[in-house]
Amino acid sequence: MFALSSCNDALEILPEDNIPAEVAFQSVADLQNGLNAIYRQYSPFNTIDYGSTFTDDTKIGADNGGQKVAFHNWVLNPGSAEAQNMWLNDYATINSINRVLAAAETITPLESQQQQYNKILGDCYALRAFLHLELLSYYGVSFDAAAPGIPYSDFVVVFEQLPRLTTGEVFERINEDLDTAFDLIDPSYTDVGYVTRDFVTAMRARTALYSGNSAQGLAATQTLIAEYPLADQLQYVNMFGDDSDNTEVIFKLYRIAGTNDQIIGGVWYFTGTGGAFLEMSNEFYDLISANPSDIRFPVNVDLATTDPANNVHNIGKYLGKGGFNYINDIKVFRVSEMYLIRAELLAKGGDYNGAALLLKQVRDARTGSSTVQSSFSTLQAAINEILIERQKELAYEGHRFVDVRRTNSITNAGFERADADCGGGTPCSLAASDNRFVFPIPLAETNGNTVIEQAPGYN
Amino acid sequence: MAFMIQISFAQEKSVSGTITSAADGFPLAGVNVIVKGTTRGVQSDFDGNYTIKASANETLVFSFVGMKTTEKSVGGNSTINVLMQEDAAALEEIVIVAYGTEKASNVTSAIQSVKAEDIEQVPNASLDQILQGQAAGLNIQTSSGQPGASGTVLLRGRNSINGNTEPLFIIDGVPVDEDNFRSLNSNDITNVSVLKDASASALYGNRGAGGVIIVTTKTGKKGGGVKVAYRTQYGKSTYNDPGFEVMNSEQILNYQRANNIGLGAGKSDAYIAALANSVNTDWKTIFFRKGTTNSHEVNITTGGDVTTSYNSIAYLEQEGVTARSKIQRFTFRSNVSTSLNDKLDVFSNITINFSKNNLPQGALNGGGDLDNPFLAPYTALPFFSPFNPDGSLNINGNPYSRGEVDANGVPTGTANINGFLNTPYLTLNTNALNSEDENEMKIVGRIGGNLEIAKNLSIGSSIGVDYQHQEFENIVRPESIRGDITPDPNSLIKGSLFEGYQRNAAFIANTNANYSNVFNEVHDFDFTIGLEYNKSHFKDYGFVGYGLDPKLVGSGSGITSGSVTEGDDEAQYYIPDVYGSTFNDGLFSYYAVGKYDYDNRYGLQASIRRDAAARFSNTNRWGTFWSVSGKWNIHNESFFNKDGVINELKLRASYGVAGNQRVGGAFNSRSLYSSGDGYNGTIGYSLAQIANPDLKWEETAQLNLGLDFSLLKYKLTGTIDVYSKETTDLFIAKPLSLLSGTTSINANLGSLTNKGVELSLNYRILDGDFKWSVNGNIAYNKNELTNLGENYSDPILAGGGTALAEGYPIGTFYRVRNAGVNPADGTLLYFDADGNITNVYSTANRVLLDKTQDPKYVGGFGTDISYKGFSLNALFTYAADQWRLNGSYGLIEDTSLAGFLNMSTAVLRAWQQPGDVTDIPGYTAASLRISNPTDRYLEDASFLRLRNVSLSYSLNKDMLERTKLFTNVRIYVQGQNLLTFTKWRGFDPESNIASTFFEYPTPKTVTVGFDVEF
Repeated sequence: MFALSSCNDALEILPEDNIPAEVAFQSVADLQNGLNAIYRQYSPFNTIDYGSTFTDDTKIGADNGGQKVAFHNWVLNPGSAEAQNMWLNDYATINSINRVLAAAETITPLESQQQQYNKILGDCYALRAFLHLELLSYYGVSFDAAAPGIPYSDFVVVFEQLPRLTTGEVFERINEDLDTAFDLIDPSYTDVGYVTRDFVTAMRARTALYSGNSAQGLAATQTLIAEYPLADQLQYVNMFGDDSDNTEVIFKLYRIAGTNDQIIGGVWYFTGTGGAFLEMSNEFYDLISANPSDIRFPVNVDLATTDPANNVHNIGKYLGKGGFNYINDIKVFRVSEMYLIRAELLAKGGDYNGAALLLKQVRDARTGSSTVQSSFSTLQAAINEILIERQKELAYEGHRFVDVRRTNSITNAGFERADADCGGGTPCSLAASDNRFVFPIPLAETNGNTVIEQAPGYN
Repeated sequence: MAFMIQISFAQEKSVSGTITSAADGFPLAGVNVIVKGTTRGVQSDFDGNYTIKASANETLVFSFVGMKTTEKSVGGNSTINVLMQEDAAALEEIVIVAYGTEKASNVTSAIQSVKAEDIEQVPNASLDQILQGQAAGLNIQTSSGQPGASGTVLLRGRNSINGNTEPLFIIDGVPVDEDNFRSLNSNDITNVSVLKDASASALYGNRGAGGVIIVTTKTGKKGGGVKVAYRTQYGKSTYNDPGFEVMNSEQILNYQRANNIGLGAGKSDAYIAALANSVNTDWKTIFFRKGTTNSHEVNITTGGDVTTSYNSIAYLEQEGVTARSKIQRFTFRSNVSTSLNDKLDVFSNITINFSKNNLPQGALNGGGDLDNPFLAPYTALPFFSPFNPDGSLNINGNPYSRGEVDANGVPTGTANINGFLNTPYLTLNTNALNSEDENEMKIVGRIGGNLEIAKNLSIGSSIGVDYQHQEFENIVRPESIRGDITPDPNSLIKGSLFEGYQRNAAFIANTNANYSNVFNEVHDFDFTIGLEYNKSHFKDYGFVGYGLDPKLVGSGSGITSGSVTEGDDEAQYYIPDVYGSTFNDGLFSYYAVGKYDYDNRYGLQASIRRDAAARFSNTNRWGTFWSVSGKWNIHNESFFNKDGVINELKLRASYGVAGNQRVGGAFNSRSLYSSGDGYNGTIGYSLAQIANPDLKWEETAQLNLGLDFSLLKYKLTGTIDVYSKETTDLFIAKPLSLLSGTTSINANLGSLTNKGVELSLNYRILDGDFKWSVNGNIAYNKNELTNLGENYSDPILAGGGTALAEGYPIGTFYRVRNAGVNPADGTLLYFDADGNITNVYSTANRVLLDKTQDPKYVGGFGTDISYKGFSLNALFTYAADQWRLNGSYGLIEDTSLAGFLNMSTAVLRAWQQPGDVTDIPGYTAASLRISNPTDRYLEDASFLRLRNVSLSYSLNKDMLERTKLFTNVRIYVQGQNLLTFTKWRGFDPESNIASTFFEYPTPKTVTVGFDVEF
């Protein structure tokens, strides 16, 4: 008897600090908790890191003790942390989404909960599309429809091993998820910190730009350009400074000062001490400072600490708010991007004039004056100018690497760092043909997934 | 040693006498005096006197460990004095085995004992570290020189990749935390038994896969009387010399000038000479100090007819070799054993201890953190002075180090007091102002009894506990440099206070029944069955409060309320962080063990046990572990000539299986969600863990063959063991597609082997007045991963530059090979995977090197010399063929940092111009230690160390008698780690990690001590 009871006492032990999976989701409120975790799980840090550290927008900072040096030096292989960071974060978030979607099937909402229930599902589908597009833009072998893309995860993967779909198939799935989401999300939801119908439209525009679906992109950008004005100079400053202006913001991720939310300035700064281990490159500084009246100069450069005479150029886009340094909302979709998407689609369709006009509209808003409209005679010229405008407008927002990668078949250009930004261990150029324009499937994935094909040049 | 004293009726008279040692004339206490053919007996008292009732026709038998047994007829004598002769052949040891003791000649398994005299007085506050080099096959290394820091103990190699690899430690029958010995007094120990093979460990089958180390503390001896002893020690510790040199002021300034970086850029010869002449700081002399050790101990041993006891109380205070490093420890022990009658014995062991630990290097300032005190001796610039003009320590830096002015003295308009340049001052500041402390209460106790319920049949029961309560405190003072950015650079009130509490109570209860009997004088049977219950209860909680009132620093009441806001933004800087967690774990077991010995020639032992672990699912909960072992005392055979070259020869063999359940996380067999921060200030539910319901025990099967021998008139004794271990159902992090949200799931997939040889020798060169003996042990172990469960395209990276691959040991380094520096352009060259030289770095050229983190050979050797009252003991320990990445040294060859860090003098021989043949790349080629990691800093960390050396003098008997007070007086001087031979470029080659980055090096210590006994 004693033996039996002590046996049970020693062996029947349940976790006290965690929730057993079988009871985690039992109500709409639980599903909402699941969605709350999903929004937080996605880390925009990766694309902002890759889009700056791995490009010509940064240089090694004065206070670098070895941080991010290898990645900045374009050291990238299946074992690199960066090969895994985005892949794991995005797919793990997708896995969480699929778990909430699966759990939702077992829950019947009350009538009063139906709209919230649908919104939860809609957000899940929209974010699933968003995450797959981000993955595709780094890990897809190219943007051609027939090229190897990425696995599309639309169920709860545990032991399954999924192959790459073609890029075309991935785009198709993304659009299906977007359509599902659009129908589920009630138009009454307008908080730009959450998925809305406009988020879905913006996603359609970006997806169309990457897939080359001009009709879809033009329609989507038209809708959004009509709805959202471009920010004026003061609004632009406030949009990035203290996140108070949302004039042209379609979607952003809230980051609340003084909480455990990720501090985005940490991509380049020691956030406690303020030393920069990565700085703005001389190349980008020269570009952005060429017109000091362009509001993007003071927004991107931390003028208080930048000292060009001593080769100190600090990134100023995320200097913090609310009394806290380096923490800001992450702008994911802004209407200026819609202008630039539309311009690129028009240029690719041969409407160089239309493209030039959209570029001028963005520039006018940023400089607070009427600028000269360019005229292009070739697609390459138009794309080159659009790329420069995107570099300035979307700097440190996670676009630069993907922009150069997806257009290098037209521009025939990779990255060229300025002499002041490279040398020593830091290479100056990454040729357009370099295999590192496709991120490798991380080693951990190929270890656990025997059916996925590695990107070219990494075997 | 237990001895029955029985009262009986007879026509007896009283016989008394004094028993003395023939060798030195000292009285012998504790000699067994028995009337031959009866169970009547007594022991001699402390002065060697005895009194016993005996009849004239009876014979007295006098026996004592290490002495020839003597018989005397009583006859008409009423006084019988006895001179006892030493008997080398009869040095019959008692060996402590699982759940009991056994005569050495009966032992069937691989067990090695370490005696009190090898443990006592070593001025190291952690027991596990003291054992280093003392037993063959034990590899104990630490990467912290903090007094009391625990090491990592590996016995016969690593048995597990993802599970516990350390042996189970049992103190007086209670399993204890193998990573925390700082609060225990190792002077209380009388014996440490290292159980190496499956037979010895199968009785602890649920936790014995890594071997078992049984620690037994002191007891009184029946009839031993009362003894009081006082011991004290005083000493100093200091650092071991590093195997590298850093630049002086002139060298680094010229180097900076040559490369146009840092303060030296653009400076004149005169400027450099003037600065170098006025300031040339050797920062290691600033950050290392002489630490003081002192200890006091009083112990009282009693031995009556019924009750014996050992009680001790001790205080130890030991400073580390850097500021803020210290342990203060109070220990108390009481061991009591009572025979209530001739059927019932009860005992209790309890030790209650409290230690205060001040740590120089903790969560906030280890590794590459700039205020790590072990960073600055490498990297701090020598042209910075550590002192203010008034001679006090400068804890704030200078305008240049703080970034307020540039190298030319021009104000920058900004400052960065937490920046690289300010490294040494930041460290001095943290040392002077901030603190990190751990207070620990540790209680290990057991109470139990044995009852003889019938002839030869007894039952026993005991309950024990290992209780640990720790309080953690970390204070960042508001006026400190770290305080300036705590909680936030923008907050008006500064500083933080962390208080954490952690409790772990592990209970063990054991009930057993034993039958033992001898038939026909030669058939010796012993049979035990038992039940065992283990349960541990862990809980921790704590908080970090922010914004400290400068007048109430260190008190919870000095913390600023979380609701306080500042500025127009109403920023909330002071919201405290809180945490808490709970975890229980349990085991339940039943077991049986049987022993049979025939005529002290053949012996056989078999055991079996069933164990259930709470962490596995219901279906996989139970494991079965067993062992069989046997011995053959060849020297007891009639054909064996004990007087030949070989005096004793014993053959042992064992095979068995033990388990390991401390693998993976606690609830790996369940899928779990956690509740935590959600988006935008909400609560979120996220997946914490995917279940693997199939998890089960890791099992280690071990075959051991051993030979114990005694040669050359018993002068040369030794043991050889060979073993082969195989761990199956090895926990492997089975890789999953990352689409699952995680990289891997624990699964019982793999297997590995450890095979090795151990040899221990002891040679008594001289006996008599002048005694001299030498001893040594060596162990070779070969670890190999035989199955990783799946086919992987590449080795699995395992951290610290190592990787896991089938056919290779755990901890094999996997690196691109460095091929030196190209004389043409000063850039680094590499070997490709095929061994061709290339200038292109690619991780595809990584190869598995024949270099591992764990040493292939470990051991120790020493000598004991004594003459009259003097004795000299020395112990060297060594570890050979062990490798480690030297990240610490790599930093001071990274010339990209030379603007704000000091460099190794090796950099002075860097490549300058085409044709230079050197091992250091040119300045523009850079070190690439981060971007292109190679085996460049993979260094041989083999070492030979004079671990302990002591010289002591004990007062002789005449002098003691004249004092009329003391029964023993001993003074000694002792050194620890006085000499180290190694190629390693750093302060300490010892470490338990594969890749080092500014850990706390172990110190060398010299103490003088004084023992008296009353």
